[in-house]
Amino acid sequence: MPAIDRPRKAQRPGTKGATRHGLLERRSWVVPALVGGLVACATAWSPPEPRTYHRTAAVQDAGELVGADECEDCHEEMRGYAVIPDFHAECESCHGPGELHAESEEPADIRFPGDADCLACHETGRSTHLTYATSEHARSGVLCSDCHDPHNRELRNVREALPVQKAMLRHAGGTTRLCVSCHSEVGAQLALPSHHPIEEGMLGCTDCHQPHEDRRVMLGGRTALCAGCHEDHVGPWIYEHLPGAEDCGYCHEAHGTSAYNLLATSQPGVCIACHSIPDMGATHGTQAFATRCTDCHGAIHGSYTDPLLRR
Amino acid sequence: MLRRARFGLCVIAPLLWAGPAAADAEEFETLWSATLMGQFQIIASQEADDDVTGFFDQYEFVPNKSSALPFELGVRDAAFDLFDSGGTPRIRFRWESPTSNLGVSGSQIDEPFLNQRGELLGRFDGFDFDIDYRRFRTEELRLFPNEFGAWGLAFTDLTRPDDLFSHDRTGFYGGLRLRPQELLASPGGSLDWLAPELTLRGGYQSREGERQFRFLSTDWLAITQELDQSVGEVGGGLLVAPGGLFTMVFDFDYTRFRNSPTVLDSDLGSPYPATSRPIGFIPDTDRSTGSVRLHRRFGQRAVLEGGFQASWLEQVGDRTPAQQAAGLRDNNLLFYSANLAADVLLADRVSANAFFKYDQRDNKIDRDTALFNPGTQQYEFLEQLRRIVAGAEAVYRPFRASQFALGARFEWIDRDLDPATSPIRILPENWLVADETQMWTVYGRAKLRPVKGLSLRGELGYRGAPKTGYIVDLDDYVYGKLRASYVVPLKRPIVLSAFAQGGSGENHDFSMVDGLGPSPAGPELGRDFDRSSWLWGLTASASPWQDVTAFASFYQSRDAQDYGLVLSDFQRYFQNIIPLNFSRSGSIEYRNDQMSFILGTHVQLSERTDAGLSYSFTRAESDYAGASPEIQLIRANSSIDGDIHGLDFEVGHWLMDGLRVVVGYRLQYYTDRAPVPSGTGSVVSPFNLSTYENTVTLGVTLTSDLLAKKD
Repeated sequence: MPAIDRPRKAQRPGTKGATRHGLLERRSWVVPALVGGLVACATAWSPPEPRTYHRTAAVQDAGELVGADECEDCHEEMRGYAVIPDFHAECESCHGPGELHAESEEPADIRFPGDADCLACHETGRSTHLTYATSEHARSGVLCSDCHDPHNRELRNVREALPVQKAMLRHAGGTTRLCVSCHSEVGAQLALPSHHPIEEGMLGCTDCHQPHEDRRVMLGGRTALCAGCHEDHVGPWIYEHLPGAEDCGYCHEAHGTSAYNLLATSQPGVCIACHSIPDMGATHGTQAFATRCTDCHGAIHGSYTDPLLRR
Repeated sequence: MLRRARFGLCVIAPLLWAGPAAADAEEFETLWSATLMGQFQIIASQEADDDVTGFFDQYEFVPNKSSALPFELGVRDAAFDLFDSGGTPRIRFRWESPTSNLGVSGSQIDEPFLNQRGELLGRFDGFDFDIDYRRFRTEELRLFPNEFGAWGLAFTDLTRPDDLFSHDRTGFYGGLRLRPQELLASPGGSLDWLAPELTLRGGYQSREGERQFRFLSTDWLAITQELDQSVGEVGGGLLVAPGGLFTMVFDFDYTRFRNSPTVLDSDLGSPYPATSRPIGFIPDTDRSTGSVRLHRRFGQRAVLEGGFQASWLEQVGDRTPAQQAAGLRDNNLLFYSANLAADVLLADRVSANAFFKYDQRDNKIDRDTALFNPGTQQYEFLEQLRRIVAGAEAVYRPFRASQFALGARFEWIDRDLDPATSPIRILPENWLVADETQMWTVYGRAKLRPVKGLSLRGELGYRGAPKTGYIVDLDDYVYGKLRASYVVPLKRPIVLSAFAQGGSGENHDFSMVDGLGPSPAGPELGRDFDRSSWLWGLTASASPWQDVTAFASFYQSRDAQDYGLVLSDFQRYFQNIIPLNFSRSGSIEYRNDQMSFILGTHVQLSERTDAGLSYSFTRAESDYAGASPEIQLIRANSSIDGDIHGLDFEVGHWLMDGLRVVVGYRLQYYTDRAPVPSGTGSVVSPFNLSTYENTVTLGVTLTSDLLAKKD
């Protein structure tokens, strides 16, 4: 492991950070130690070296750079892509020097770029890839090229789903169809009687999911994500339904459900799994079992008027 | 609406002009295409009315259904790409509007609704921009009451028969990213070293429509409540990557949510009490969120990520009369979130990763008012919630494209629950939420490629929960996931994939305690909750002949829940003044079954002609089983049993380069076998939701090839 030899950027005297450090120190040694450690780790100098990702091996001794023209002599199908060097890169920026391969014409003599090559440029300095390295996709071994086509001339380089996959979600956007080509169970759920309007093309997977993100550590959590579109369900209330305050997922399943309003379990099941029913006839009794609970408890997410969330 | 459209054009047009100018290119290449579409529908007669929401109307608006020939014209899709002289894509515009129209026949010709989505991206040296525009409608089915027995409350339906419960969302969202070091001719050392990126973003969305609000007043009421909401967002961020050593991002966002005016009891008119109690009040809110995120890679061996976020949500604007009377001005929520994740390469083939996340939710409402103690609070109040999730995983990669991992996760939730002190209140013994949750999970996962073309991925885990927060939190939970794909090595390969996942657990932590007053000494009634769920599926895609591709997919799932139906002789909040007895009225067996399959094919009939055909089927069933009369009543009124069929056919033919004609047909068919509700007291008679829609589409696609110069 490269030495973390000079924590030169941490804790310069007289800076705001140093002042805060001093204040925190008076309260406890744990917090400043953590903060100091983090800052030191974050700013410590590493020796300059080619930025490659540790899980991909490079072809050694591939010779010199030969230029895109040389590549196009054989790879005519790539001719169109080679005219966009300043959009993405020269062939050899990702594939490495091509001299050996150009001479031998052996596939083994050229690098097949992996995630390392993408991340070398796309990881640092990008707000979208900050937690990619520990993301669900990265840990599962999904490659950048499984979803992106670097030779694609379209912005974002997202791969095209096969035309035949239009059958799966008729009007969904290309990115959504690409997602469900692997997550086909989600594709099926999106066609259930209650669903977000994804099949109809009005929303897409990436409206809620950031495919480059580590879902385990998503700042804010799931309820904050839902609140981004459903502000009218998150209060702040005076009287609130506690499961809703914690996690919308206690009652709702976002992709699609049999029950209306994306309820994971139809009413009254979603309610009576937790709640008991007063067997008093007049207010709950038989009528409660024959209706939806929310026909009376209309303000189920929260209320300003009624502690029993009826209005 | 036209004003909004003009506003949109005013925003987009300058960007379209400014973009190419900034690109500093001499020659541009443009590619464009557009599909003009006309389509008409034949709809089941019971729904062929503009004021009736049918099953398919929930998500796809069909304009002018009352017309004998509901015909619409529109631009189904459009695309525009601009490349500079180097071939670099600079501007991308996409327009999708599957059910759009430029005009419709009949009554709605003056207010055509456009289900549409547009995207405009620009990428230039030193700055990028993204603009997203959407307008769509969702509708809600009118819900009808079922009223049984002599004890039933009267249902009074104050909605109008022609009320349509719909929700129209129209909004723009845009972002601009600036990289000053690229914009300036000679940026200087520190700017280059910092590599900053400044982000500005903002958006606006309006939501209009009506909802059917059902609630309990002096009797059981349904009203039509107007929806008139708006959301404005503005934010910014600064990213720095000093010397490429690490990346740090600071963000701040402000969201302003405004809701329709408050509806009071007095608005209902006679014979309802002319009180100032609000109905379905939703507060206006402001939310401010700030965050800082950090990413640092240590050479080739380790990566560290971390972040912190604080978010403040406060009620603003109108207070309810009860709030004003109680002197409650401040009602706020404060959220904190912090995270840390790391991945370290320990040896050549061994790595480890770990994560930690902390969330906190503080309810800052001023509780020193009559709205709480000793006022109307009846159940526990969540003052603060703290949640920690942490985990670690060791990964071994014995050979290429394979990995074995062992890991563990821990989740801890601590709730500061404040009990009510009113005489009528739920005692802590009978709370439905516990003050602490502890769950730990151990798991192993593997990814293998045992033979060429075969890829396997699976996970098996066990979760123990010494303390659960809700009865639906599962203890002793075993789960598994498997995903496999295989490329059958034929001359024309077939790609098969299969997936399966399932889990089973239980919760026996919760009980209800009989008796009177605090710490009742009565017997306990255990509440046992068991849940198992699984799903599996197969997909296959193949190209059996050169010009034919085919696709098939199958999916099936089950959710099974078993628990006792618990009754009490009075509401739980009377326990402080009346002896309370709980009883079990049989055991509920809830089953939710889902199944779907899809078949599709695409055929290139000739060099200029292609056709696509697909069929989809989805079945959704939910049922309650149990011996008691109450469970039978639930079963009779809450079952779900429906099938959705979809058949699509489209054929397209290029008449010449750049000009294509398209003819399509779609059949949507829904069969609902659930009982039609009685609808006693409704202003509209309930009807069976089974329905169909036939849609015929005629389209013409024009592309830039039409105008291209021929050699």
